[in-house]
Amino acid sequence: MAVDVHEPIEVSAVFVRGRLKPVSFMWSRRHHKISEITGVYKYSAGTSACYGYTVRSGDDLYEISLNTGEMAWRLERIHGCESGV
Amino acid sequence: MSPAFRGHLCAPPRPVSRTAVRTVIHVDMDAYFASVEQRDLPIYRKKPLLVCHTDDLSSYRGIVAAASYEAREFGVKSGTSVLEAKLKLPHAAYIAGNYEKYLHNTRLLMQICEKYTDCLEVYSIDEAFLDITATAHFFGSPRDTAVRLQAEVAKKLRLTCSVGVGPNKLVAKMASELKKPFGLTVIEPEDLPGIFAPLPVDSIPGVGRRMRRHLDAIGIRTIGQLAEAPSGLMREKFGVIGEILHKAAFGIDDSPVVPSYKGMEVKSFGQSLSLGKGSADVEYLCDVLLGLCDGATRRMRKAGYLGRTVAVYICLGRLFDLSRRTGLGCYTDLPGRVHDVAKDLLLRERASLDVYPATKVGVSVTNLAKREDGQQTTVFDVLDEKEAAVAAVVDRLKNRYGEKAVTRCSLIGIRNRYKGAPRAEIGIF
Repeated sequence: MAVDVHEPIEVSAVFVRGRLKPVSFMWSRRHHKISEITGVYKYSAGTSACYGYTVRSGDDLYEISLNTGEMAWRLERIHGCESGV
Repeated sequence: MSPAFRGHLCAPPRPVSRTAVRTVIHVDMDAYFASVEQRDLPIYRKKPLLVCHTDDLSSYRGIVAAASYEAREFGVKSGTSVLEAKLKLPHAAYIAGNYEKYLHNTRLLMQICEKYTDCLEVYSIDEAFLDITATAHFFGSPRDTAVRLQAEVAKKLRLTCSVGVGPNKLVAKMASELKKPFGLTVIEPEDLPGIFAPLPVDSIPGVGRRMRRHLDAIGIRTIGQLAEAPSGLMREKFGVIGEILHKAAFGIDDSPVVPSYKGMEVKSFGQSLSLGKGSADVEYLCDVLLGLCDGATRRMRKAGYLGRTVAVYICLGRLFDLSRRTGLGCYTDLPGRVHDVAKDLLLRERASLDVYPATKVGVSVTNLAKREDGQQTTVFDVLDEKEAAVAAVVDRLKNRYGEKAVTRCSLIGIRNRYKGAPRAEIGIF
């Protein structure tokens, strides 16, 4: 039910009350609108602070991450039916 | 030995008022890793979910790090091999553990616990002891404190925990195990015999399969029977451990709650890898050992420790475990020297490996000293200068860019070789 992806993606995000909230992302030439953020956590990769988000788009759940050192977003993993697993 | 007992040996007692009745809370998160994933990934809620410690979920390698309560109904629990879990629960959801996420939640949990005491011991990633002797009155009674703490964890983390309250760490820990999930058990000293006596001896933290077998051999199966056993017999049979166990049967435990900032004494640094069906390829196993030595010594350098004893652990064909150790002759935190010794220990077991492939290998460095305490210089220290310089550069790179930023050339192909190794087949047991 889970597929590892680990690919760079483009994300649109907004700041809401001092917190970063991803609203949509582009992956595989498809636009995915985020309907819900189900989890957020913070960690570090070397000296860079990173944020992991679990978001819902359609029926699937996507784990995306932001590396604030590189200011780069990645799609890490997909959970759900559309992932085809 | 459980850290509850270890704490007794290495930490000073906490000064408390003579009139205060000592009260300790033990907080234990319920099916922690699985609960975090079920919270963040709603598609796995109310379904059997297994969070695995493995590098390849499509294989049968690795172990189950946490099982959801739905999966536990089928007899799968943490520590079960992925192979066994897939035999019992082929249609459950299997996901790889995300330890960064769990650590983030642990930090939040400890921030909540800190509101209830000035004496908090982080016991593991999902457990904590709180000495509330001096602070319980701020929240009413010890029970009120536990209820508030449990409710706050549920509200802020959206996770459940089981809480035990008792006069010491031992009783508090055993109390939290009595009702799960989302249980709250308060044990008063006078209730101890009635509650503890019928429980099996392995309910005592630190009593594992082996000790249970030894106790069973002398007719001790319950804590009540352990309490009735003559203390002289326990001392004669099991030494100091026997005395501690006999005291534990009466719910006696003087070990203090050690605040994390005081730190627990570190005994060893180790790393191990499960190899599925196994491998008898000695060259490959030596490479695996090198990776493990890299990992263990990296953590030693980070924590500022040196070690002078190396132990190698090999699981042969799921039937036998063997452990071999030897001294290094001097203190080190460099992977090369640890690997040289570990490799020798492994090669001595070549004959056994020809018969039974190694299904798990591990290495640990013990007999530790803090780097700042100084080490005796030997001829090896001069020889190791180059390796020390390389290790320092590797550490700097990993500190800056993360643990996966750099690896040895000799370990690059190991993953492919590992994946190419024959996989375990369903039904071999």
